[in-house]
Amino acid sequence: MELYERKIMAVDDHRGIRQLIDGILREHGFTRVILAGNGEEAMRLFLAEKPELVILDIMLPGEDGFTLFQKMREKENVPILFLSAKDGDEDRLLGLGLGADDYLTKPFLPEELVLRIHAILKRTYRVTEEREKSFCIGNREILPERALVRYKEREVPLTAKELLLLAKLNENRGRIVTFDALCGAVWGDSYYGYENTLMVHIRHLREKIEEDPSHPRWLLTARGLGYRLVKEDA
Amino acid sequence: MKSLFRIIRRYSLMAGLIIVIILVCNGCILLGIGYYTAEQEGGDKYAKISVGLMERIGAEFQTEGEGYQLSETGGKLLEESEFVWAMALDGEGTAVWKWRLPKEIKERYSIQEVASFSRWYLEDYPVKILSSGGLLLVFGCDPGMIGRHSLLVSPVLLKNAPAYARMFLFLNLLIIGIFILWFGYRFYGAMRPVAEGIEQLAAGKPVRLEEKGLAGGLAEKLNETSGRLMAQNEALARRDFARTEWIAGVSHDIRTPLSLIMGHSDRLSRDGTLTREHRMLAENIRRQSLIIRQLITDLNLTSRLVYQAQPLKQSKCLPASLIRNCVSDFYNEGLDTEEAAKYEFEIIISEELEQTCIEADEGLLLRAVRNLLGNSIRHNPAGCRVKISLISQVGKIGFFVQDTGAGIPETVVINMENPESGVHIMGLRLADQIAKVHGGRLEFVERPKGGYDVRMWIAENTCPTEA
Repeated sequence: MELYERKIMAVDDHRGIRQLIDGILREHGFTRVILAGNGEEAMRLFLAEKPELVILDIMLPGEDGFTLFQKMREKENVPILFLSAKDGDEDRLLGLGLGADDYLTKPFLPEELVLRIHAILKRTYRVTEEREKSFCIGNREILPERALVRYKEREVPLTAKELLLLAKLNENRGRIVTFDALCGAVWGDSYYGYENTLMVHIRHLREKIEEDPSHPRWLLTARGLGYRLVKEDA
Repeated sequence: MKSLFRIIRRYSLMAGLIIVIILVCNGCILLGIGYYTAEQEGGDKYAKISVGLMERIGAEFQTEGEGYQLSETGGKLLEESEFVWAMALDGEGTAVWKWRLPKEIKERYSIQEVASFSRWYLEDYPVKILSSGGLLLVFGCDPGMIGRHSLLVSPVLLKNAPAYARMFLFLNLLIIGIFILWFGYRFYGAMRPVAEGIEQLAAGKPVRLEEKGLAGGLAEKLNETSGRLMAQNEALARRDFARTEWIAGVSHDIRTPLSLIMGHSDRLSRDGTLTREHRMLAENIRRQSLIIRQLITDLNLTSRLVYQAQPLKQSKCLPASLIRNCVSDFYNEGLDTEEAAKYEFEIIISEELEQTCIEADEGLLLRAVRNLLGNSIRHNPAGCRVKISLISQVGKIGFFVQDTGAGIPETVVINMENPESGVHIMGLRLADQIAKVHGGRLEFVERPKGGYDVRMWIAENTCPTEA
């Protein structure tokens, strides 16, 4: 099933917030969005519609979000993201401690919400759609499952480390990923001393994905910080 | 408790010292008085009358028929001496020569009488006697010149007198010492609960002492003070809690409408059906709402830090990585491409500090460093170059933020500790609070041409090395 075909339910007592979430999700391609304004309605819709992800406010009239969370989990093990104005660490810890998939504090940026929903859906349903599996960097297609870069009928293999780096950069596409995060993704926590090795891997990657590796267009260096994989539409 | 023991020990030593001083003083005064009296009242004069003088007088006796006469020289010597009368007794005890003999002095004496006055007095006159040329010369002194007290002492006692004196002194000192220690101990016992109470009070714990004994009155006052302090502390805690909750409540209530402002402005800023100008306006609203979001979070956190409602979540943290994350976040979130072009970040981290790993609340530190960097950006809208260096001192690690812009104004530096100044520096104050909960502080470094740069120091709690 397509990622964007997953059914998402948003529970919030504020009509404006419900509409905002609906608008954001639809704008980003999600077509099946259900909205509920209180616990009772939420449970009814939850049982009837069987959403595949729930965005749950905590402070609701009647039963609060935490209680609702437990009721839903008793029925179905769906991923749940808390979206709350409660920003205290204790609330965050309580929410995550109950087993929530994520906790986002209001006010939030639409992109923040969408990225988190993407991450949860990918993690939970191990999306296998072709468009999720492979991605393009310019005129080159990256096929992670086969560890290949395809370009004009030519296929260039990627090493395991190059693949890990590319996946990390693609996850954060358009954003700078620090040396620390990249090294951590490839070599784990004790990554100190691998910066030079990282540079070598990046050079090899550029040779595989860039037209002109000496003047990269896609995999850019953020001096002193890390690297950035430029977005497709940039 | 150590301090109380010290007080008691000092008290005992002082008491001992005072007693020794009093004894020494008494001895000195006694000796002084004895010496003075002897000197002034005649005792000394009596002692100074030499046998030589008496012998010289004795030698001046001449026989004159059956009687005796004193020569002119002898008479002169007698006149100049301390004697007030004199007589010479022959072998029969009869006075054969007399000089100024008072009426009450007899002129004939038996052997027993001679033996008696030779050691004592003759009619209250202290006398000195000398046997010279078959005569017993008896010299009388003024009755007020000297007093004599007869004491019968056994030779053993006399022989052991110095040892007895030493023992007497030692026993006295021992008894005094025992009493000092005994009273000191009792005093210590009575004061110990009071001292413990004061220590507990200083540690902010409630005190409830038994109000009896030597320190009963003190204990009562201490109990009263403790009760009052506890009540005040509770009132303060309630007020702090109410204030923190109020701020949390307000920030919570703002969050929902702000979500709508932020969400809708973000959508509008990317809405292709709008004109570029309208999209820009929406983008402005979005950016301002981000600032409000940051302010709310800062306000909430600062109140929690001030009222110690924020537990420190210490974990392994790499300051070098933290700086890179922070700068990356600015590029990734805060600054779009146009904005980013106006700012340039330079990170300076030595090879050694690159590896430094500390125990700290990474989330809080990230917030503090963000605030320091954000300060440089916010106050230099025309753009600037921001340099952030990781520095170290003994036991400390620091984040040094410098920029090529205007620098932090002096008003801000002066009013850092004065929340009533009206200067809006919540971001820097929050960074300062975060530094303080990490055992450090903010330090402002004056530039040669005015303005300040800022260093945030924190204690270098090195990570435990992994086995």
